[in-house]
Amino acid sequence: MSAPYFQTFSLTTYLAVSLLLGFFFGFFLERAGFSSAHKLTAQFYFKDFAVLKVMFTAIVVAMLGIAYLSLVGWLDMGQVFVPPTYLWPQLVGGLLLGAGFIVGGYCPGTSAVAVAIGKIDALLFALGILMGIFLFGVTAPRITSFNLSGYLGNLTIPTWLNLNIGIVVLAVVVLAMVAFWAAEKSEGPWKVFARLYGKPSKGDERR
Amino acid sequence: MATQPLPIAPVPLTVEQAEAMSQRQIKKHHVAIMLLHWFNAAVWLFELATGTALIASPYFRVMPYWYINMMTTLFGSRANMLHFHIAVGILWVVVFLVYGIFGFRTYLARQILGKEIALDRDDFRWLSIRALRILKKSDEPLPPQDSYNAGQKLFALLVYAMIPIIMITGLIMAFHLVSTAVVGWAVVLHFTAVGLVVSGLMIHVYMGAVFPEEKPAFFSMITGMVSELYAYRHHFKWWKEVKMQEEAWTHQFQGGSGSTGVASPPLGESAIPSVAPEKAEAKRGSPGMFRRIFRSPEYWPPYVAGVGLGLTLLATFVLMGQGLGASGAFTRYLVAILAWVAPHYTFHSSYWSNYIQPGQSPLIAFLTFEIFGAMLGGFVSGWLAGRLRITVDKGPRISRRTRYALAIAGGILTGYGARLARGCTSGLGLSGGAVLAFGAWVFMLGVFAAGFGGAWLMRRYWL
Repeated sequence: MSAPYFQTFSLTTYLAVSLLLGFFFGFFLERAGFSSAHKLTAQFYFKDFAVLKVMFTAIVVAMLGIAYLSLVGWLDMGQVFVPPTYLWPQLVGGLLLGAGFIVGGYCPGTSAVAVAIGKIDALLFALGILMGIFLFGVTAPRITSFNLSGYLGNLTIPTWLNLNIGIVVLAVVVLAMVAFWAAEKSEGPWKVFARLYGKPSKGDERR
Repeated sequence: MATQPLPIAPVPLTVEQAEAMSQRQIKKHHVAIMLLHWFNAAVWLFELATGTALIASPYFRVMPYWYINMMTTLFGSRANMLHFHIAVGILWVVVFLVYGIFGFRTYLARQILGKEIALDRDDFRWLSIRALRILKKSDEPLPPQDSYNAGQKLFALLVYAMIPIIMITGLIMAFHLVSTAVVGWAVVLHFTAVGLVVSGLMIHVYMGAVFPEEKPAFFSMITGMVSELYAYRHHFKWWKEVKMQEEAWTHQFQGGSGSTGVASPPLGESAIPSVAPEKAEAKRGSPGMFRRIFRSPEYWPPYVAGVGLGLTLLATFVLMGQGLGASGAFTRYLVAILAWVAPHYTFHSSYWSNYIQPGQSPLIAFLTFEIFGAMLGGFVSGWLAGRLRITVDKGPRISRRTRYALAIAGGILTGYGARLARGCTSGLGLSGGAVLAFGAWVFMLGVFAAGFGGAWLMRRYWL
C-alpha cells in the first residue's frame, strides 16, 4: 500500500487528519515565533533571519523526505499535487504578497496563528485577506488573460533544467546551507546590512 | 557535611594524587546490569546478523546478496533463519519484561529514567562543547558529568524509546497481529527503529571497544569497577556523589570523625573553590525537561522549529497527497460566507463557483480544517509558553490606529497576491518549494524581493 493515503480515508478520517496536521502546523509556527509580526518583519530589516531559516529548513526536510520516499517507491508522486506554474501571475502575486507582508506584518498562515494567541492586528490582517480575496474574485474575469499567462503546467525544477532529481535536491540542500551560513553571519559579525537601518531597537527579541 | 569541601569542577591533580586515585576502585555497575548488558549485546549481534539477512526485498535490502546467501546456507533455509530470529527476539522480550517488572522500582523508574539518563543543563553544554571540540572550534573544558555522560544518556534515551517499538512491531510481524495494514506499518517501524539504534550503536561500540580514553568504561562492564581517577576525570558529578555518600557513612559509623576511614579526596587545602551546600544539585532529573522545552517563553531555535514544520509538511504529503496551505482556507471561508449572503451571485460567478461542488459545503475540505487545527495548535503553543494575551503588535513609533490601517491594507495586498499566485507562503512557497515546483520558487523570489524592497519604505512603521 503506497502513499498518499487520502483516497483510503473516510470523510470523517480525512477531516480529522486535516485537523491534526493543521494542529502541528500551527504549533510549530507559533513555536518558531511566527505569531509575532515583529519577529516576522525583523527578517526584512536583517535583524533576525528566523523566517528564512525555518522556511528553508522545513523545505529541505520535506524535500529530502519526499525524494527519499518516492525513490524507494513508497510515495507515488503521480498522486501528489504539484502546484502548476503560471509564471507571470505568480511572480506578480509574490511581489504583492511580499508587499502585503511588510505592510501588514503577516502572511495568511501566520496571521491565523497570531489571531489564536490574541493579536488584534492579526485579526484585522485576516479580515484584510478576505477583502483582498473578494477583490480578486470580483476582478478575476477582467484580468483573465494575465491571470493565465506564462502557463507551464506542473513544471518542476528538475524537468526545467533537465537534471536528475537527486542533483537538484543536492543543489537545494547546498543552497540552504549557504543561506543559513549567510543568515548567521548577517545576524552576527556582518552588521553591515542591519546598519542600513541604524542601531537595532530593543524590541527585537520581544514576544 | 564533608570536612573537606568537595570542589565544583575537577581540579588539576598532582602526580601522586593521580597515582593514588588510579589504584582505588569504585563500584559502578551491579552484576545484574552487567549480565543484562552482555545478554543484550549478544541478542543484538544475533538479531542484526539474521535480521539483515532476512531483508531480501529490493527496496529495503541493506546487505549484499552474497551475505544473504551465506546466512541462508548457514541456517539451511530462510524459514529456519526466521524462526531463529523470532525465537531469540521472544527470549529478549521475556528477559526484558522480567527486568522491567521486577526491576522497575529499583532501576528503571527512579534510578534510570528519573536520574541517570535524564539530561540536565550541564549535559546540553557538554554536548555543544563536545561537538565544537570535534570541529576544533572550542577548547573550553567539558562540564562535569554524572555517572553517564551526555552522549551515553542520549544513546540510552534513544534505546529506551526504540526498544518497546522494536519489540511490539517484531511481535506484530512474527504473529501477523491485528491486520495486514498494521503488519505493513510494523515492518517500516521495525526497520526505522532498528536503524536509529544501530546508528547510535556504532558510536557506542566504537567508544567502548576502540576509543582509548573510554577503555575503563569497557572493562567496568566486565568487572563492575572503575578506577577513582577515571571517575574523577570523566564522571565528576558521580564521583562527588560517591564521595559524599562515603563521608556520610563514615560520619554515621565513626561518630563524625570526618574522613578518616575514607580514602580522602585528593584536594589538600590549596586554592580549591569551596562549595556551599549546593542548591543546583537538588534540581536534577527530568521534571525540568518538559518545562524547559514547552513552558519556556523563549521561542524554539529556528532550525528545530523548521525540522518540526518540515516533518509536518512531509506527513501532510504522505497522508493527503498535497502540502500545507492557508490562503485556500481563507478563500473557502469567504466563499461560504458569500454563498450564504448572496447565493445567486456566488453560484453563478465564474470564479467563486470553482470552490463549490454540488451538495457539499465549501467548508468540507482539507484546508479549512487544517487552518482551524493550526489555530488550535498555535493556541496550545502560545498557552504553554504564556503568550496568550490580547495585544497589538506594532512598531514603537506609530499609533494603534495606524497599525490597524496598515494591517488591513497589508491583508488586502496579501489576499489579492495569494489568489493571483494561486497560493501563499505556505501553500505555494513551502509546499510547492518542497516538491520543487518551478512557480513556487519564482513566487518566493517575488515575496522576498518585495519584502526587502518594501522594508526600506516601511522602516518608519516597524523600527
